[in-house]
Amino acid sequence: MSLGGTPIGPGAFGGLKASSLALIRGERTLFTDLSFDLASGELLRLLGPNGSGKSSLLRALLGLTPLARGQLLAGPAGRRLTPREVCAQTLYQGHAHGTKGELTAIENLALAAELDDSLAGSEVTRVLDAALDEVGLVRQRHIETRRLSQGQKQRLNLARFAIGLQVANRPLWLMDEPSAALDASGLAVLEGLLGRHLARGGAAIVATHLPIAPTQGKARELHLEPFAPRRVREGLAERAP
Amino acid sequence: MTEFGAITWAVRRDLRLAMRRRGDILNVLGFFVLACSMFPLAIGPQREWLQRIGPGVIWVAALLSIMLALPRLFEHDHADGTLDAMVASGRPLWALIAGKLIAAWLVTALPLLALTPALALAFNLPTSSLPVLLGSLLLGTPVLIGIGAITGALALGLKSGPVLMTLLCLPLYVPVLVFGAGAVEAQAAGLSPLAHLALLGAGMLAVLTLAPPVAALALRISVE
Repeated sequence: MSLGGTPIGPGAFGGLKASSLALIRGERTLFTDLSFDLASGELLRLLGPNGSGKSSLLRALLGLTPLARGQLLAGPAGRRLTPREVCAQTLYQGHAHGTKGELTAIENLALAAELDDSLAGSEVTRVLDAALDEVGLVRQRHIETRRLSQGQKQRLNLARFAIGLQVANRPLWLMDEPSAALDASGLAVLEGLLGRHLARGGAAIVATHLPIAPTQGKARELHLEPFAPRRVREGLAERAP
Repeated sequence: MTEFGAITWAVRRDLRLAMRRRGDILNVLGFFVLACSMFPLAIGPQREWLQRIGPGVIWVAALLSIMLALPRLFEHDHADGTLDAMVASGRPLWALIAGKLIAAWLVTALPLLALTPALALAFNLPTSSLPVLLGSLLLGTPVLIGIGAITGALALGLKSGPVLMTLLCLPLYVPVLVFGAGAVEAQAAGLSPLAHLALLGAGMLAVLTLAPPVAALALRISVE
């Protein structure tokens, strides 16, 4: 049993434009003057070595980490978006799994989906079961998530996105290393979900080290360069050799 | 999801988590009872002394028990990434925190209140002072939890977080303790405890209004 997808019209998501973003963490400048566009139906693969700021960029888009400079616009020439507005139209999966180990898989999924506002109507159990079935966790649904493997927890996160496909309220997906710990069939599930999301007019930014290829839609790449670290010593900023 | 929906979501979530971690509730209750029973052992079983110190001891023990439980309010959620998910959900953070505080009161303060009559008996308090003691705890414990939420959110993620939180909290708890224990004392002295209770109530209203948005601000800084 597979869940259907709700189309996202141009009214719900007209794209995203980031202009001249700069991010400084403590004494380290992760990037300056980073600009990119994201149109409906597009996947942006965020590539770069460890520590180049992929996770921080995703967090900064949501306002979890403040940007030093730059702004986010709705569409190519749209108005400026506040972090709160970006959050409200985003499904975000962070670096940590974001599940409570004491709760079962289905309880975690239900709570997450309720918070996303993607569980509407009376068929809640059917939708939850269908989403767990899709990611191959239906037999583990009543197992506490602390007993699940890393890959299974990652699949549980994917189930949340499968439910997100049902509603049009969160057209932007931000995923931090969704392929980590996933096996080949898990990766296929991820690529299938991303494909269906792009096909319905959604968009996604995925930080990854793997060449994730969505089954449908367009994929582009954004490379984050390792920035030369700046050291602050005795009050003077100097570039490291 | 409306604000109300966000509040009930957080209450249901945290109550369910508390039910899975009943040991935590029992630890706090055990601490409360043991802390109270240390005093008679230390100062001897003279009836009038116990009666005299009873309300104060129960109040201090309740205060310390709540402080024992409070560091957990945000720490687990911070460590497993669910706090990030809550902030990133775009739901009103103050409402999610308000829900968490309601749940925290239900699982930490309410059991303390339920045990208080038994401890009052152990301290030989007159039955007539029990309603005032319970009333002062009913009004005062939300203040303790609200202040603890703000300091806990500020100290979140710091290496010495729980200790720092204790140091920040205790001075702010002093007025609550003074008026809480003072209410019972006033009644024992034949005065009306209403002034103390009214001040506690005012404090409660202020904290109920201020704690969720202030803690939300502090959390946004802490998750950076």
